[in-house]
Amino acid sequence: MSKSRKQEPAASLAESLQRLEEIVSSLESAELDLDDALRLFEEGIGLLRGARDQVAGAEVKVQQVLENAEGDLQLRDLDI
Amino acid sequence: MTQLQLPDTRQTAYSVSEVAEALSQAIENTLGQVWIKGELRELKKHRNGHWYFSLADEKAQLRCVMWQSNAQRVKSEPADGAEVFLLARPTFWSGKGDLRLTAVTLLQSEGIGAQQLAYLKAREALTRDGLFDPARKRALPGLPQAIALITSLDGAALGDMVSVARRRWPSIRLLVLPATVQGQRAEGSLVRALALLERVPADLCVIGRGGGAKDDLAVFNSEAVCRAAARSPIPIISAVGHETDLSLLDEIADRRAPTPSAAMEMALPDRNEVAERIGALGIRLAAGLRRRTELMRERMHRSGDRLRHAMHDRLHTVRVRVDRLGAQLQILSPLKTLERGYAVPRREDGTVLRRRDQFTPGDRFDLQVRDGVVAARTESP
Repeated sequence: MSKSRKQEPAASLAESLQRLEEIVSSLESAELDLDDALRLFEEGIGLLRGARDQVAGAEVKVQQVLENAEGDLQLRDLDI
Repeated sequence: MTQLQLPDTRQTAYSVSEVAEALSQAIENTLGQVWIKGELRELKKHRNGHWYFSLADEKAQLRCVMWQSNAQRVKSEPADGAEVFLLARPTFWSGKGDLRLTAVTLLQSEGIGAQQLAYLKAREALTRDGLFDPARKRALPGLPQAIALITSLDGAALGDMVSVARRRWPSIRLLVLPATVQGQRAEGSLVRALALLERVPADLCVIGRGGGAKDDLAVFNSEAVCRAAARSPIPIISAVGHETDLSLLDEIADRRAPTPSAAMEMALPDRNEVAERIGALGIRLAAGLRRRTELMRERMHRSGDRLRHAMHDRLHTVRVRVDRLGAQLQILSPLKTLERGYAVPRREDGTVLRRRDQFTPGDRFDLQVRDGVVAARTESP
């Protein structure tokens, strides 16, 4: 799968949401100093934006998996 | 009266028992336990539960016995003349000089006998290897990034599955592993596609096929297909179009869906629900920070002048940063909505209360408004 390995996978949405839950819980309950609170808030904003883009944007990508004579797998975009 | 012909005295005569024993050995060692197809005739049920009957075809007939322990497992009593499959062992009863088939299992064919037989054999082998063990079932990933679809490129199933993905979770990547899902080549084709799952970067696999004649689905009872599915490194949802009967693949798979579309509903989250969850997190994030800064301000008011002076600059820097971040946050929709005068009721645990039945008289909840949280209580449902 050479084609897919080139793309570094972004943090998955599941991971982002889990981290966001942690950040929000810390802000809501923990005794943080203001610097830490702001740092967490900033991280949270970034995660929120990324998560929102993942949900709102994107087109379903449909690819056919082909195995060539050498046994390597290749991907070809399918128009469905 | 003619003279009785004497036996050849040079040959030693066998005893009856010896011949019977030799026959018994020959018969029982030659065939062993086998499946036999034939017409059932003259069933007699003895009061002790044993069954006696004949199994016949156009040219031959064999007498059969089925002991009570096996006869009681036969689901429905076959009618006279019914075509049946019998798992039996030919036995020579030397006491009566009788050849009988001792039957272990009796199946009524009703025209699909051969398939049923293959099904039962495969089921037995897969059960023996523990592949139906419920403990083998894996949970589906909550938010998958890529799904492998094993299906025909020509069938309606593929289009249906892509449509559900577009509606429900458009950021998904679908990797199609084309396979023939009916006919003679289907078994090999499905096994090859399933083997590729080890090399494809997917979190989940759906095997999909539209509905069709029952006969067309025989391949999903194939032992080889089931074993290939059991080796899959990722969870499998089987959606091969059975309305009533479960195929063996359905039982091996981690989940089963009635249609390919239903499988995708199962596999993918609903983007509206996830967007709501993200929105709620945004609101809590903003409220959390606001609470922090308010606490800090209160603490400063309580402090002496000297500290107040020292903190003034610090607070100014902080406020600039908060304003900048706040502006970014404004872009996120839930806050803009609050700006317009809407309020969001939430339980203490953050659950957004959307429906009337989530409010109980006397219950306390938080009302998130533009600039903070108001404690509220339900008066009437």
